[in-house]
Amino acid sequence: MGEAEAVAGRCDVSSTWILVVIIPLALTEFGSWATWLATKVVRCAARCLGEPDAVARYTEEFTATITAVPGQLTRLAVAVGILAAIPVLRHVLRATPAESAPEPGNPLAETAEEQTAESASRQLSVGARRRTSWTPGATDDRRHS
Amino acid sequence: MGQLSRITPATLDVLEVLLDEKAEHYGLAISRKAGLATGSTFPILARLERIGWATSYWEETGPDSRGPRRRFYRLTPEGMAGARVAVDERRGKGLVWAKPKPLPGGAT
Repeated sequence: MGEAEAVAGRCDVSSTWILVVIIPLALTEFGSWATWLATKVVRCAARCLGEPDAVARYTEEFTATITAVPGQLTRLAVAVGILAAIPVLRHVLRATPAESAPEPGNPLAETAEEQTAESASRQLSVGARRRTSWTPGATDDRRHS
Repeated sequence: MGQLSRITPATLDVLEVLLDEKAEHYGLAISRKAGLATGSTFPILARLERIGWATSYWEETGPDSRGPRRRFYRLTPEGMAGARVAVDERRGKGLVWAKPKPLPGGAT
């Protein structure tokens, strides 16, 4: 019995050390790394845009964005979200005006690829509202039912 | 400017935020006000800039300031007109949807 109590006591001490010392230290360390990593992620994301002007602009803009985000882990999450949207942004920046506006007379109409990427990016947002595509001027059957 | 035939709700949300001329809007603030993921806001802003509906400029910082500058966005006069039309149309549609259904038998 005595030996069992001693083992139990050692487990308690170990658990206390893990809870009080190790986990907070690990979280603090990871938090610092998360900020560093977030900066690296957005710089990498901006470099993926290709064009030097765009790279320079978005590197600073993205870095300013994650700097303004409170919370170190949240910064990393935002950085990953920015990285996920880079293919769409690159598509918009590289598209000719005609490609950018697939429907004549509608400069805001988005391509199917952009809508898909936007939808995927939105899924990364915690608590994002459910949305559906909306067509201005289209007749809605629900109004007449 | 042509009639808008198709526009995503996310773009409308961003336009609605940018319609507020009193505030200076940058990427993160626009995302939060529009309720969008930060990443999805930048392509929308880039598209608005590309078609001439929005313009952007760097934050003015003093010589002592450090760190990256924010980039602010605002609508051009053309964008302002188009955004008002699009947002008003959506609001109008929302009001129609919010109307209560008439009760059977014509009772009010």
